[in-house]
Amino acid sequence: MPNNADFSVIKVLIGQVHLARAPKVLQAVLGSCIGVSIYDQSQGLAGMAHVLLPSSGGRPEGALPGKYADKAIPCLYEAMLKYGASARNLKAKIAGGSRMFKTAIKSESTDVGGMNIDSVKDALKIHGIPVVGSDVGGTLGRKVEFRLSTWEFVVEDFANRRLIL
Amino acid sequence: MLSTQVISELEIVARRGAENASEALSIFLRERTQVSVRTVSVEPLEEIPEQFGGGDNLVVGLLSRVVGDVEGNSMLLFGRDDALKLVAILGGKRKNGNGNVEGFGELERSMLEETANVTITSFMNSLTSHLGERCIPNAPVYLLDLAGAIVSVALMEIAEAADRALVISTTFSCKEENLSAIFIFLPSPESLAALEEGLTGA
Repeated sequence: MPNNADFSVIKVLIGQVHLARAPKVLQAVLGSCIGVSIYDQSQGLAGMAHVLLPSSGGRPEGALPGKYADKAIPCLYEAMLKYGASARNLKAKIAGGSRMFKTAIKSESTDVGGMNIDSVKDALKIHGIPVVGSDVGGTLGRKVEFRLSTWEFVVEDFANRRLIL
Repeated sequence: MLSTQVISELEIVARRGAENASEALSIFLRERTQVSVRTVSVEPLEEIPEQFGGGDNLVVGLLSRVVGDVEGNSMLLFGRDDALKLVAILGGKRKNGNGNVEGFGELERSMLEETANVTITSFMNSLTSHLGERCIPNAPVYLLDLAGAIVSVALMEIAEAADRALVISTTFSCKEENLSAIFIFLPSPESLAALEEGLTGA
């Protein structure tokens, strides 16, 4: 790794899609949302989408290409190919999809987190991208960091659970 | 996008709500409590969790769904330490350990939920009296988690049809403890349009 290597952290906020090259770090804080990373290790390239909702229902994605799972995955996939990734090398790691409030609000009574998980997995399958790491469901929020220096996908919650995918 | 006129009207409503909340909380907490409106603004959805000192800050969120003529989600958010201070003011058990799932007992959670109930109801009553439309908050529900995770849940319904949301941000302080909290109200896109109509008399 060169001395001036860029280890900077890119925050992937709700609905955003970002690409980065090693050794940068892609980071997101997730509740019912899903953090989806697609990467081509041989090219040193990865992307992350912060998916908020399972389906666009035909709505345009607007300013946030990662907002809906059915739009986010194609957007991420195409961007990866555009910047030099090879389709056959692509792999995915995902985290999130909690059911945080069971009764407080309408959207949670329908378990949007669970629907997000299903929708993201379906979209990855359609694009032929294998999910090689996954930490989804549960009731707590998560912070995820995809560290492209080591290709570790680190998942933490505030109850001190820490996983490396 | 809301006009400057609508934002100004909302600021008036929010300040009245803050005055009501100050009076009600002073009685409830038995401490002189001052609620102040910090900002009334329309923010991009993705930026809202960042307003709480970063999405990975540990916060107590008290979430209430608002129903009636104006619908949406409202939240009162405290940093974990400020929530501990508030619980101490109310006579609950003050715990000093690291944040964990059992950070607050049932009694302490009820205290925080009731504080949120008083605050949110005060704001909604102000909106109701200004517009003549009903805004009824449901009982708030407690959650301790990362700010980004909590706020994103409240944003979901709004996000289905919009990339921006109305945020009324406040701070409040008690005489002895100087604690702060943030209140936000996120009306549904339909209700935001109704609010705009009601406030401009269109």
